[in-house]
Amino acid sequence: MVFPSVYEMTNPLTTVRKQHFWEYFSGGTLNSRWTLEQLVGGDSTLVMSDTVDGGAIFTNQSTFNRVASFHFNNKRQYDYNGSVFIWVAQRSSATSLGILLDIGLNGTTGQSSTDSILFRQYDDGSSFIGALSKSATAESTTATDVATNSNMQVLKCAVDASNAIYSINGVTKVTKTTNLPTAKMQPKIRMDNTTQTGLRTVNIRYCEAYNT
Amino acid sequence: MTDSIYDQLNANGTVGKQRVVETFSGDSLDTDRWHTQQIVATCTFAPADSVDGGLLISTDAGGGSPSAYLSFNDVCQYNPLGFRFISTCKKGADNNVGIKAGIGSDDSSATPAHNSLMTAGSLVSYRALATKDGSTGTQTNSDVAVSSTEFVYDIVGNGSSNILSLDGVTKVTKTTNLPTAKCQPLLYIQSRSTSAVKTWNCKYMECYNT
Repeated sequence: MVFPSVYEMTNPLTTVRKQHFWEYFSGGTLNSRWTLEQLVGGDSTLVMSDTVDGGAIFTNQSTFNRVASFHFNNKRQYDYNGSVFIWVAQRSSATSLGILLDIGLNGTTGQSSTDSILFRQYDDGSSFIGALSKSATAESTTATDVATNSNMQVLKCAVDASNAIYSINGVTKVTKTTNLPTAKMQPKIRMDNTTQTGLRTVNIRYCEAYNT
Repeated sequence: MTDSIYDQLNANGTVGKQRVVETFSGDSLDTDRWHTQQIVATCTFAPADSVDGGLLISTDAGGGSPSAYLSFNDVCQYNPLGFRFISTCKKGADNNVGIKAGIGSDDSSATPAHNSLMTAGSLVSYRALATKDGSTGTQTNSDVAVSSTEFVYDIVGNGSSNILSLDGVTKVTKTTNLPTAKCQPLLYIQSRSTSAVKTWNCKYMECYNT
């Protein structure tokens, strides 16, 4: 089927489409829609990768104690009551003590998170990728059956007023009904390697978010 | 299912024509693509921190009809004899605002020499299609009254007519004073009548040659 417009791929012209964006992380420089936030250390980087299928590469330096994130600088256009995110991303090593990696939608910048839905890889805490949701201050995490890994993988979560459904590579892994977000959110990846030295990277090939 | 966006937009064997899609989502406007052209005083174009807010287009609070375009800085890649422009519009609460969006040949005056523009706000009582052929500009109203209800519109031009549809329904067909010179996407705001901040939101823009 051939669509006349990108608009009509997802919406008929009788419907006002909701907020919807996608990012390929391909080009000479990173699109200016992203803000890199240095949380601890100040030398983390987010740049385009000069590798096949590399997308953008987010790096925490090997120096001890580094935390950074990237996001929309609190331009929060995605609805806790009905939105979807898809990230295609790959971390540098399957296990790396001291790393805490959050990938998803989040209600705030800075060190602390607020309302959020995200996938968490926390090598000091679990051997499996976690599905985390947070409502203002109360959060909980349910482990998936997918071990932390260094594969490029598709991370998707759909949230509405009653559920957050997490899938990895197209397979539903967790459905959460508690501690669901209660405020608007933005795409965000946060990487923390505060407890061990060692270079940490995440390659990001694609991000999409939309309201439903 | 096809893996390619290209193949979903172009029939097999067809060379795709110029197209741009803007989702207006992120921490800042993509100023590599977009140019802000102030006409009077100062207006701003910045992402909204609100669900489904897209781009918030605002005038300053001054008098003298502050106005501005968001444009491609007069880089004109779109053919008025075969184009389509699809976008969304949500007018702010203040009715004393002029809104225009579509394609135009320049961004240096309130009315580009060649243009095909959806108009709303206090410029008109009804959402309308305005066109100009280089010398003469005219406007035809739809039957949809101006309001703050968000809507999707598209303008299709083929050389013999320019057609404005609102929420998927054809409302205006114009056959006179159609643009003929190459154009660029334009989003325009003008404060009118009162000294106060005026706004409208746009969360999507797509323009392509047919």
